[in-house]
Amino acid sequence: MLTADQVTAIVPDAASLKAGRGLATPRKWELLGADEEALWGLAIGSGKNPYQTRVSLSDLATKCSCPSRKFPCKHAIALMLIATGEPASLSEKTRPDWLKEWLESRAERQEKSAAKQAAKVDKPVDEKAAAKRREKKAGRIEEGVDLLRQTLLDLSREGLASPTARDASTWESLQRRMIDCQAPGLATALRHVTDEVLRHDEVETQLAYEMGRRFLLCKSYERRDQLDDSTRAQIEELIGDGPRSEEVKSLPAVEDHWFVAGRQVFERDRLTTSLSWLLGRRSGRWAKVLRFAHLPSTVAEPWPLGSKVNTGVCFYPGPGPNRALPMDDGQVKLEKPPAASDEGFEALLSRYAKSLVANPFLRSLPFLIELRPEANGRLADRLGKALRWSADEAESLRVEAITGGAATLACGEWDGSALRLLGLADGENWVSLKSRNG
Amino acid sequence: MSENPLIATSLLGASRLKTLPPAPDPSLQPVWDRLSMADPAAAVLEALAMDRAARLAGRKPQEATTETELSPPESAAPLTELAVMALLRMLGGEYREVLPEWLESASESGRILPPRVLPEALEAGRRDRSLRAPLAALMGERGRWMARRHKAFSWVLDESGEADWDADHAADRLAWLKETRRVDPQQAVVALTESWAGESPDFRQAVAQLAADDPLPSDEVWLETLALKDRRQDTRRLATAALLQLSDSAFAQRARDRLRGRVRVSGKWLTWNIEVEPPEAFEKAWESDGLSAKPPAGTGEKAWWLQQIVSMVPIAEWPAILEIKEEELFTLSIDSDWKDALLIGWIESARNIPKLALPGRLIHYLTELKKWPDKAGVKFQVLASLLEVEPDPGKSLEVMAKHLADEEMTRLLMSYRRVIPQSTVRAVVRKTLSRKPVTITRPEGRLLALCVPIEAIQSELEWLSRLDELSAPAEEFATTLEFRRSLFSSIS
Repeated sequence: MLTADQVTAIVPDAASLKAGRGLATPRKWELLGADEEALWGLAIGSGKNPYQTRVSLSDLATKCSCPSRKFPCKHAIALMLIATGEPASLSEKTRPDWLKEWLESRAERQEKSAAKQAAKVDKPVDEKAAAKRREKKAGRIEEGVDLLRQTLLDLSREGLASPTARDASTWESLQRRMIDCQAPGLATALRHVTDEVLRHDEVETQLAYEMGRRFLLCKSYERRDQLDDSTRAQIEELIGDGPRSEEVKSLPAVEDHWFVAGRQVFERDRLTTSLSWLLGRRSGRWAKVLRFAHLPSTVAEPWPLGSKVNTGVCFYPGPGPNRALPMDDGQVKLEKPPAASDEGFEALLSRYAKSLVANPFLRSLPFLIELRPEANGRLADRLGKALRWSADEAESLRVEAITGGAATLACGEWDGSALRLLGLADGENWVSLKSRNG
Repeated sequence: MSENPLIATSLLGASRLKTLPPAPDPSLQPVWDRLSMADPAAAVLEALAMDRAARLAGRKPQEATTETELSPPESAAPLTELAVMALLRMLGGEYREVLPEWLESASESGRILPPRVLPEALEAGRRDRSLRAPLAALMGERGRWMARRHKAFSWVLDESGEADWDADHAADRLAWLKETRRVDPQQAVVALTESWAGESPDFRQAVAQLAADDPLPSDEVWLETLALKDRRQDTRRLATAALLQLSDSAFAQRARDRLRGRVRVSGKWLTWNIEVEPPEAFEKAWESDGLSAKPPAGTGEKAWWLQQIVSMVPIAEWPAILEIKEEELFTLSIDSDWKDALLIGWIESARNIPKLALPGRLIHYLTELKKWPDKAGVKFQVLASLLEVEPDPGKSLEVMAKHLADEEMTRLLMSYRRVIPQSTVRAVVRKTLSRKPVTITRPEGRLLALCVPIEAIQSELEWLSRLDELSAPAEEFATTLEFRRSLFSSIS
């Protein structure tokens, strides 16, 4: 199960893709093979011996004996492109030793690291030292939260029209302090102030609301002991003190057929984040799955947009919509997009209002709704309601072409003021509207 | 200053604030009442948080406008994902040479572009005129619906022949002209004659091209009185070609009369010869038929007049003029003094009216010609353009492959850019590719790959794989073949 989109999404650069395409022909290979889990081939190179190229299909990990430092190298890219374009030429079915060894060593490594994790959890920890560390960290976070709360109060007293409040450096230095205080969630929130709020057309209103919302967060954190578990977990995650992934994975998993409805890739500080919205077809629950990679690496997505994945996911605690960790790579099937959705904009907004009550810090909510573009920069649903749509010209044109004026199933996010689209049904295809190499 | 009193308060600062502004909505009043004014700065921030959440939660959707025009349903199926991806690569600049072939077979498949790639296709047609006709055939209802909504893409509608003489677009008007020429040629002539003087030079040339492609007896008058006197040389050349194809036209008649009597067949020692008698003087009247008196540097006056006279008679009319059989024409030897002038005239005539140039026979003749007249243009280009109108190019290619130098044959194939018989591929292309050092460039390697018929791609690739080492152009040839093969499997 591999699509060309997945391959183009993980190439390190355009030159690698071009070189990979040049090699994506059986003529350049002494041997080509594939089974359910892996692709392999012997690439004819300039040297005496061919290069041994291997791809693990579950996570698109690759290994090649060529000297390239690019990752994945052009041979691995070519091998994957052959698998998407002319899979019949991957005729060899018996795994060569060099592939077996690699797969085994990978499995071994994964086992070892799992065992290590388990050992970490099981290890009779020095309770005293651990408690001391926790206490120290909690102390620092409290220090950070308090600093932010005080700063917000000072600015409120002084008035938000003051030059200090409008000066990006105020927020930048505060942001650095939050990182020192081990509160990365707050640092991200402050970055949002410098990146978006201060540049907003209605900066007066936006800055005031943003500060009110952050003040509430600080106050909620200080009173977290009086909150219910779910809300407290949400607050802690927003501060940047959420549960560790091992803790999340120990929670009961939700098994479902997950429709990979929307995906967005963004890059910040040399970290690439791929955010996927999954909709459980049975549970009706939305799961936010994040995958990360440090540049120059790229995020390898084992699940193509529009596919259906059979697996269990563990949700982070909180009122939602929640981030989730998949248990494994699941069984992936490409199939027709779902035929319809019951939701309309009215229902979406009421869902949004309910979510806000449980989580006033909510930024945006995913949806799957049949909609069409209107001439005035809005989207309309089947029930005759319309909402503002934020899209650039190229996206507007593509959505117009795909819908042809008729309501069409789409996935996107509502952030309280505008809709943003991520994926859209084009006949039997599910089209990404935010893909990196689109 | 904001209209929201709470925002206004937050801007001014809370240091001297005694009471909060009233709750923005009665439903928020209970919450408002609970906010402590012990620290007004905190109260303002908390009120802001409430206000924000309440406003976000209270949003209501607006009423939608009704869609006035839905895209009509498609009757054709979309092209496959692989075919579409290949198109996007070519539109992006890779294997651009293969694009015409892809477009042709895509439209033969009867399938259309899926809506998601319409933005790229519409934009490509907007930029490149030569892609418009074939792309328009793949647009489907959705593409035409988009074109009706965006002025930048209206070319789709032009190509689909929204025939209208009074429209703004030249393409609309040409479509009308084409259609009207078919059903009521006289009406087309009337409309054209009336507007000719006011038309743009480009439009006039396009109209002359219509006539040259398919001349009608009713065209004679306007061609002679208007197009032949046009200021643009290309328009005059096309008008000439159109008139000469109308063998009953006065113009064609005069052209034949100028030649008649100057050439005749005579026998000497069992060989038959074309005897030539060039004009002694340039007649003033010839000028209005497009002949010029003054030769270019390096050409004698008489030779110049002769070659112009020859160039204005379709070669197909020569057997009648010489009173011989068609197959005898190119067996005759030519009066050596005037041979070059006659050949240049023939080649020029073939270039203007290739359909009436006995292309099969002429190709054969020119291919075997010992000395190509320098002033007749580039040999392989002349031959390639004749090959395009030759109904049986296979046979001509065989002859050419036998007689032309490899180099010349290769250039010819690259300019021809169409599929040729596999035997010619074997004879010519293989030789070119295996030569050391290789004499063609990488882009030329790609062009050469366009000549290989689809069914022969596999065997050519196998042949390549048996070579020790591939030169860069041969490599380019091979990858282009592979690309073409993948295109065809994805379209069919």
